[in-house]
Amino acid sequence: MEEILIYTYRFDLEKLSQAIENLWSKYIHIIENKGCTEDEVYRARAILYFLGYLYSENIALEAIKNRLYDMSLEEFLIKADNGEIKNELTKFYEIVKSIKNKEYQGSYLGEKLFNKVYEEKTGNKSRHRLD
Amino acid sequence: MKKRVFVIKKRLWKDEDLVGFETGDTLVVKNTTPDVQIILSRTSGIITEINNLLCHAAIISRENNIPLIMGQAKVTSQLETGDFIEVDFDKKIWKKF
Repeated sequence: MEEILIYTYRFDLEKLSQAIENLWSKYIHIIENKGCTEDEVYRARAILYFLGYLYSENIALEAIKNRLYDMSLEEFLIKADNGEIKNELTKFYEIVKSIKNKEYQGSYLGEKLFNKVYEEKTGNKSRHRLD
Repeated sequence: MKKRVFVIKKRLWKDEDLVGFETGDTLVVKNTTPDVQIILSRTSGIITEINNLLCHAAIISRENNIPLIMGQAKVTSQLETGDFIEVDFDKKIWKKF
């Protein structure tokens, strides 16, 4: 997670992309391991929260906002999603979007498998009260 | 405009939860997942509980030009599939019919 922040600060997109993939692989490795410990499951939970929400919806949003000088955040996102602009910032945005499209074993961010493992290892029925 | 809604109450949902979705329905969810792809060309719009410019729903709605209202807390509890709403996506307002 530190590496992701470091490469976001430095805006080194190649290393950032690799760091995200490394963290994702670590997450998958934990939830696939039938013998994983409760501590490891909580590590997976931290990764899931970081990649799926904290980084992709907050830190990355701030990182984009801080690099915009001639247009609003909303304007940038609309133009980027419609392919009207192509630059380093849109490349960064594409990397962030790739997180939001990650699926594992047919579920978004592998959450189905994660929830199963989480329930087995921690005894907690659900992370989310309303599920 | 008057729209029928299709409501998914679960946070974590899959394409199989979209069975019964009718062309022109407005999808009402906590948030979308990549599984929403199969109904994107048939939905009249999306209403979500989550509110973030980089959430999945916000991204796919910008990419596909789909009307979206975000940040509607508890909307999945307030509506049931088959209900009708009066919705204005430009003004970001809706009410149950």
